[in-house]
Amino acid sequence: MTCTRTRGLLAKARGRVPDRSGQPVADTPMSPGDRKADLAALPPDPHRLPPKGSWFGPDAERHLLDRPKFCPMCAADVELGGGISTEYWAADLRVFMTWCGDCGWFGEITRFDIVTITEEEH
Amino acid sequence: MLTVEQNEELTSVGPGTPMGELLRCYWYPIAFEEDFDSVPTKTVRLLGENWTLFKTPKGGKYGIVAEHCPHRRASLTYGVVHEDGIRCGYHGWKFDFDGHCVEQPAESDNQNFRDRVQQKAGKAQTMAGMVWVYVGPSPAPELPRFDVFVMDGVKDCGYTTLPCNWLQIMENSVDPHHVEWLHGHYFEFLGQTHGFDAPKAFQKKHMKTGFEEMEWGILKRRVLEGGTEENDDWKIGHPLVFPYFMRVGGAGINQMQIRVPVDNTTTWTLFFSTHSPKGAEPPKQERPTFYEYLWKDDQGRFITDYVEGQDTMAWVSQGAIIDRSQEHLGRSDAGVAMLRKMFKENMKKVAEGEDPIGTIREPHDRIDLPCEKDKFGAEREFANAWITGGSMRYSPIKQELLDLHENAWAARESAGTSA
Repeated sequence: MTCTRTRGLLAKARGRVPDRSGQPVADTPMSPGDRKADLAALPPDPHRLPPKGSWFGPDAERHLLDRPKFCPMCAADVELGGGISTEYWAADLRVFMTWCGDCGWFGEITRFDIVTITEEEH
Repeated sequence: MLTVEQNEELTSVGPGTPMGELLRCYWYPIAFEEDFDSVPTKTVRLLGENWTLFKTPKGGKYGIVAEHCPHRRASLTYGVVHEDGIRCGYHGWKFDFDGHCVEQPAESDNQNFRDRVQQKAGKAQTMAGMVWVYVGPSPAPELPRFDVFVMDGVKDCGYTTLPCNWLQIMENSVDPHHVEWLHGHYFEFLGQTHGFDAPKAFQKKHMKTGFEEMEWGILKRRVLEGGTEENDDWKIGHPLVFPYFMRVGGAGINQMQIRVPVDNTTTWTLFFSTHSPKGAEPPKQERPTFYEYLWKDDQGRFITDYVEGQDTMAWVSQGAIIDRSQEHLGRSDAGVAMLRKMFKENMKKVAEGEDPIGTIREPHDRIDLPCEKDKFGAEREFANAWITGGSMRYSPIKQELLDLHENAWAARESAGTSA
């Protein structure tokens, strides 16, 4: 199992940012600079990624980056309090069914690029 | 999709892990009473630990202790069973039902040593022909007497051991769409390929599914094509009984599907059914009928021409432990996400010293679970398909079961109460 070591500024300064030939799939096209900055936001250990070269590794990487970190109700760290966020996809949406271990808030948080509405018949 | 760490946490059942501590708060069937007809002990494995299950020769009382003697680690399964405990065959150390060391023959002058030795021990009881054990913290909760195990009727149970984590089997229980595909269209495909008639009852399209947290777990509902919310499938539904059962039923068959977490990559699965169709006079049974069902053929391929064989193919082919960091769930998997939340919520409760969901501390006679009776709107066909197209096809009493349901149907027909 490949361990994802620190990806913050310190790691970059030491040249320890891993070479990622498998490109993570961003919600929106990103410049290499933006992507690098985005990757730097990855949480430190103990979060690990699937083995290097895994076909769906980039999706797992995006999951680490994009899953909700804080509860929308009480602002506590979702996972630190024992909570969980399971990601599922619906069309272009990425939906995170989230339970806050601190306040018990349970609901869905959705990432989207375009807001799509359906007009009622009129 | 989950993180790698979350997947490990949800699938690790050993002692000291959050999931392991949660799972130790429940009773599990681990053997059959008939296993003890000729021998008084049996090694069983549960939640990543080996245990010696024993039955006293006169009183017929069951006990369970960790398998290896704390003295020099010999197996207590090869020990001497007394009315008040079990003695290691190697040097004679004796343990009572609570694991207290009560005798050390070679250390008779050193009483203090004996008092300092405590073998891990649990509780054991029988119900429905099975021996159930509890290996968690004291005080032990009551053994839940769920309806399927204690109701009148003909009892039949197919079982096998599968090389996969128990959680992926439980997630299947909150995945209603798989019925339409795996047991519907895939079954039909196999029938066309191999020249047999696949049951049609499972092919109905799901129009709507619902998941609701309830007292015992998650209640699952569905509206099938041609049906409405007035049908049993929606109005009543059936529950995943937390943390390792699913109650299903219909057409006079009441079934509890049981997934015992043996260790991280092994699950003992049982399909325990009580047949009590209206209009039938069930024959007396001394004990439920237990038998092993097959899931691999001589070439090592999955046997997929029956319902539980199809499920087994799906569960085992997902891998010993699904890598949930690389799955891609859709909206139809909302029940799966909800179940994971329920596990996390109850791990937290246990860590904080509370009882998890489904803990019962009051003595009781029977717990009735909600479960639809009119299954897929096809009662007679459904009972037949379930017996011939499910694991019950391996039952030594298959023909008796078919006759029971057919005679009940005929009796209801003649009485004008078949609807």
